[in-house]
Amino acid sequence: MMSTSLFARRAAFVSLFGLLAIAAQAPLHAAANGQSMGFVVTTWNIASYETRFVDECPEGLNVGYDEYWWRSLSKPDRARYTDNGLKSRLERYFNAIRRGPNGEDVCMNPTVVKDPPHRLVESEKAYGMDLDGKDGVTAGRSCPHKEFTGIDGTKGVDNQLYRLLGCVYGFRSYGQFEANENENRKSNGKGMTLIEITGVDNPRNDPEVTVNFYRSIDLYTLDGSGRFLPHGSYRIDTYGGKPRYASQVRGKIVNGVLITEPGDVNLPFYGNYTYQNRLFRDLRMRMTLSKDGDSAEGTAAAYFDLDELMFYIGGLGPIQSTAISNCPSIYVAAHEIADGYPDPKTGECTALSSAFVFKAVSAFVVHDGAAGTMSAGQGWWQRVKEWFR
Amino acid sequence: MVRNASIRRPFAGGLAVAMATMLLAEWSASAAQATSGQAGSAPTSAAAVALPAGIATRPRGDGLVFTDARGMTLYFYDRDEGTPGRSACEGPCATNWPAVLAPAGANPPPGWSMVQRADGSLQWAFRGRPLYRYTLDDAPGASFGDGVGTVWRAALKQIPLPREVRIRPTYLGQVLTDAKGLTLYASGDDKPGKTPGCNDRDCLRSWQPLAAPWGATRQTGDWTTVARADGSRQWAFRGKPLYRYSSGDVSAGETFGHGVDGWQAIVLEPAPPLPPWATVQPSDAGELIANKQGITIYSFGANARGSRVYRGPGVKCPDGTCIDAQWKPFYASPSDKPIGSWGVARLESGKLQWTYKGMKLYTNVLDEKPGDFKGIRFGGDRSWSAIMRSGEPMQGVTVGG
Repeated sequence: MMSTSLFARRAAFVSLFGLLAIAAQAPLHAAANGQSMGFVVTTWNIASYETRFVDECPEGLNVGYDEYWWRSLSKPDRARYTDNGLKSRLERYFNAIRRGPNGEDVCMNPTVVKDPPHRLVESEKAYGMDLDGKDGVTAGRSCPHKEFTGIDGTKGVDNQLYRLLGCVYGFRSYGQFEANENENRKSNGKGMTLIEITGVDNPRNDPEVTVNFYRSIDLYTLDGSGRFLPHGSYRIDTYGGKPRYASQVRGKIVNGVLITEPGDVNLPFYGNYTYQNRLFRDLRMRMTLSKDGDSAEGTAAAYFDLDELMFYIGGLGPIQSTAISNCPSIYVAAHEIADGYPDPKTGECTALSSAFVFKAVSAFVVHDGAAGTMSAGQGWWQRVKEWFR
Repeated sequence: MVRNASIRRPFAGGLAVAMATMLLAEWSASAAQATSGQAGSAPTSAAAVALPAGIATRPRGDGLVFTDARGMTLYFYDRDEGTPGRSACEGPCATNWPAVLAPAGANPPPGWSMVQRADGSLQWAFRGRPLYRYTLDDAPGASFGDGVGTVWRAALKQIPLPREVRIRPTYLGQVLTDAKGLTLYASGDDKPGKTPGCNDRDCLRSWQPLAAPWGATRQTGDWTTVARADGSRQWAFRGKPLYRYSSGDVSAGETFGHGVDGWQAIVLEPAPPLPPWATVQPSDAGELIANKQGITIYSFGANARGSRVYRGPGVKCPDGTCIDAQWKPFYASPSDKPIGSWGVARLESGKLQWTYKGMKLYTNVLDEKPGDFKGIRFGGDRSWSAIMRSGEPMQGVTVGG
């Protein structure tokens, strides 16, 4: 017969084991108790509404800078500059890009030549959101511009970035600018955005959450086929103990869709060998969270700084050869159709309304810059302590 | 049953032999690799390398640097590996990188040879790699050409390393890393000859021992192995057991563990000092050297690399160098003193301009705040480099450039 003391010891052991087992389950409930959800953005593209027969560009797509250079040459010069026609477009880049009257690089100095007008999108429809409201121009928030109708019939959609770049081959969904950006980020981990939603009480419906944006310094976690894996750990880019990118906006979750209020957001960017710290003003997001919590996808709309955009396009260099793009004409058109943030002195707008589509997978956002600090052992002890509180 | 056993036995025996062979090969390779450099394992001993007349060595933390008789650093050119038996640096390249010529009738010591250049002259080569000087090296001891274009390297006979170890530049200087580039550390609490002290779970969670392969037990110069409490063996450098910082370092070149609780990265050659005006600014590309206001500085290497210059309107040609007006010379005052790789050049106008590794320094008007580096971009001129805290240049990329 078992002695009382032994029975008591065994009962205590079983109880303790039971407590630990319950404690181990605690995070499942804690996750829905003012907790956080993390995501790493995997692809980010201009929201481009494209029809099968390119009806949005009735005059066709734009002409590239190489074509303008080629047209300006006499036949003997064409032979001279291209090894009798044997040089590829990429190889003749240095000659073609320096077609300014004094040999200037026309992407670095887009005003030194006067090229034919840039072809803009003429479609009535576009992806995007109404950024300036009904009284944007009269209230001084915007400059006069044509508005789109959303794909879902929403009136007053602003998306001048699409209007500017929708008829440039390289910026369309099959163009290499966008593909390169996503591929660069996937291979070298530069310009990766982390989205962390905090204060989540219910992951499907929560009237008030906070959305934080950070830059990651880690590479994507991929499977053997190169697909993005959810639940990887990503460290925040910090310096001196503070995140280098740390924007925050308020939002809510409605039926599994995160909807944010407008706010200025800094996002890291790397693509086509160019780094950028992009400031998206008045950014608002609609992000649909998958039911299993593994992934998300959404749309973001914001005002995109004109100088930042032109710095990027001006530096695209030889890729513009194959992307059939021409900096000087884009530069002129961008200034003509800019619709956001009027300069208080000149009245000219300094930003373009824009819309983007993006995808993300769930991620553990590591805050202190040290991966491994969230080890299973520490988490287990933390859960036990929390359970006893 | 018997048949099965008879089938299995040779297989098992073969497996055992194969494993033994593999382990022996592992031991032999590891021991041989560490031992092979033993003759030159004392990096401060120039006598360890046989040298032709006119060539000397200078000790450096990570090995012996070859110099000419005046002490000027000599260089290897990575592209020579694609042209065995001859130099890939002829014509304009040779203007900036003159060959180290051997006299006719010279008798090469072991490890040395001569390659014939296009003009018929003979050039010294060490282990088949031709040697060069760099015209911007302004004094004995300078090695400004090290890392230029990521294809020029100071000619170095590196200290012997186990197969599991590499050397990598970081902001701390040349540090030891594992084969994946993760920085190696030693604890201030570990004493030579003693069992490594990092054994408990808390410590091992952050500090992962650098395991030595089975059989690598021989003492070879700076490298030894130490037995851990669990019976495994760990590499030690100069008596100090080596670890990775698994709580913080994830990518190659990170040094988050340096200074944590008495742990130090193994720095073979400290980074050169910075001038007093220099600040270090974080950026998306890493830590950049900037001026006092935090604005990134750039070096202009057109002279060094023979790159093109800009010829548009607004172009100024101060002091004989024709550059775009977006670049502003970074002037020095008469009281400024050169330090390490940072020098001061006197311009035709009489003004003084800071230089880095012999190249003049500028700021770019597009950079408005600390951490900006808009002077570097795709399609831009590769003559311009921002300077990383590790001392390495950061250039733009230009196809065909």
